[in-house]
Amino acid sequence: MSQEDPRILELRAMREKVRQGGGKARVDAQHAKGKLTARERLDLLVDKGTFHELEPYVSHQGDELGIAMERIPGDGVVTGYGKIEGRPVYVYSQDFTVYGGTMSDMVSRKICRLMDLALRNGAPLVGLIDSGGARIQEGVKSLGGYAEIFRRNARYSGCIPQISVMLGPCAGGAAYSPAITDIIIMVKGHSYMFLTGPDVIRAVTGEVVDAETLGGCETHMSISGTSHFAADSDEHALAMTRDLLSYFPSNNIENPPSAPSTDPIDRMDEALNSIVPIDPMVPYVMHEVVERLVDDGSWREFQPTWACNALTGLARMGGQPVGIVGQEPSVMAGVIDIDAADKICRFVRTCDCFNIPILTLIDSPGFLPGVDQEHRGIIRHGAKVLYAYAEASVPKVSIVTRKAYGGAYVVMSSKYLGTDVTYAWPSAEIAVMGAEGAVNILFKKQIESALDKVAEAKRLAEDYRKRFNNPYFAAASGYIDDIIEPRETRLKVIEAFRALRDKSSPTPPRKHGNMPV
Amino acid sequence: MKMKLSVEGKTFEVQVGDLTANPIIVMIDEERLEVWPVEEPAPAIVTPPVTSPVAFPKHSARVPVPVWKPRKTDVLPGTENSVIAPIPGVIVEVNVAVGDHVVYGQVVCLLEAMKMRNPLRAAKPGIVTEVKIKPGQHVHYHEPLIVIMPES
Repeated sequence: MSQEDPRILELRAMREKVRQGGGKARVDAQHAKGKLTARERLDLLVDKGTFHELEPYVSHQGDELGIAMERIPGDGVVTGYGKIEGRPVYVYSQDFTVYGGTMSDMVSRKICRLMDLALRNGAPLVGLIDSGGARIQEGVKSLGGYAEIFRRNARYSGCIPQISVMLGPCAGGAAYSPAITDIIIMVKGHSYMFLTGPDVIRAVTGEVVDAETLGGCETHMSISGTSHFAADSDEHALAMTRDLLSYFPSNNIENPPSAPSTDPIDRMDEALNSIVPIDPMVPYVMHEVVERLVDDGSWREFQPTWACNALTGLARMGGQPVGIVGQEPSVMAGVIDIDAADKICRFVRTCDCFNIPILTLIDSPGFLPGVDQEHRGIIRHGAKVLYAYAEASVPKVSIVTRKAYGGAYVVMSSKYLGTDVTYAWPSAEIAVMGAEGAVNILFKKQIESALDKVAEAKRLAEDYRKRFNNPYFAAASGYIDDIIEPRETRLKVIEAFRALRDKSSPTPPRKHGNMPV
Repeated sequence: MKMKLSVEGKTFEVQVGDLTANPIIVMIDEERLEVWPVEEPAPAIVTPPVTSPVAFPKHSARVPVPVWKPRKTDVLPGTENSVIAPIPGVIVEVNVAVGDHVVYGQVVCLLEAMKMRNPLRAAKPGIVTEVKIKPGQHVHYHEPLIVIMPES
């Protein structure tokens, strides 16, 4: 057998060096923290054998501060393309074993090149984030590198799905990149996001807080609303990413992919006919309604532990991806407050970007009253909900399951905001305000002149309820397309979306809208 | 390779040439046939499913499990042991008294607000040490209502 060409042997040696990242000691340290390395994560994310790395020999260039640093090929990030369920995807994976995954000029160039490729080829971009922050040695070059990435995140937003998987720290300005992307998945225990870390906060405000409390997974899932999904481990987060991408088209031109479903589209669910209690004061669980409507096991709830008075998530109905928005009457009576408005608005726009039709389940008694909410600007936050619905050009179907009062009814995809098909259950109550409040305004004099004021008010309220606490008044005026039995909702919704599949609703020419934020 | 084959009572003399040749020459009686073997396509690369954990728990639509969970935003600094009003409203029913033991998730009072009787629940087990409300009382947003101290 002939001797191997030494040039081939050298290439093989170089490849092996690249593969080892920051070396055995740092890889072991990474494993000891319960984390996988950048390349192990890529192997789990994309289909086996489909990942192809780009620019593995790029290494950092500048050394202005005179700090002698070993040049590690690849620098702090692995970039490349692969396939998820056979569909192309572009991925960058920050390598914490190489200078702590810090952002250098070259790291930024690698990531930006990948983002440009993803856009040009109309394929999703996934970022696996595990970085110590800016590389201080590179000074402003590192900051400029961030800006280059942010600019692309923003400009490509709505063109290709962008998912950020938080698998380690993401501190300082770096946290803005995930914030722009469509979905953030955080791993419990070792992912953090904050602009100013615990040390800075202690120095400036004196507050003592640890990284987990300040910006860990639970904090962003339950308090700040920054993160959309929580994962138990790196493996779990990567499996979630694969799963979620199956609901998204590869870009804003394509339609979302359908998946075969064994759940019959004409499945009648008798339990739905009795799910809304007769007494309108008794709550029920809207999550159960959702689970019963969608293809079995296909419900993926966004932000399940934040602003729980609203629910948002993706599911499949008849195999076709659908975005579902609703109120949760068992939490805060399903009122819309500032957080709920933010949650709904963001989700509706996510669906609209990527041609995912929207089903809205309305049961809201109104906006949350209070000085606090008004002063914090519930007007502009609530306005976002109606802005998003009015702007969304995807097929929209809404169902009033029970309460639809006042502004909350209007903003939640009411018919004349541009909803294509509006249904109501027989339990629907559509009115400007509740019975007691309404009669106190409408019949103020009549009540005051009555002998028994309380009895008169009660009689009038009862009369009001009879007229408005049903869907027939709204249906008679054409504000509701049909009143349906709850059990047949699944079939009605699927057929509606099929009828609306080729909907075309062009946006008037403009640079972009000016949504209140 | 020579052989005799009988098909429907008729006998043919068949001679098959080199099997590695392309084409393979087959003589049937005096007739010469060329057989062009077709390359079998390479087996498709099968992607084994990712061996990581199930991405999302698959609970069946037929068996929904609405589990109540305390919300982090219902815990404010200084009220860690209190049940607070998530929305402003009127208390219509108080289900516990001082000294009662309560379990996780137990309904401690009903708050009528936003056209709904909202059950408020204990976020952790313990003993009721203070009830600051009575039926008919108006309560503010985030007002502490009932104090439940953990049992030591």
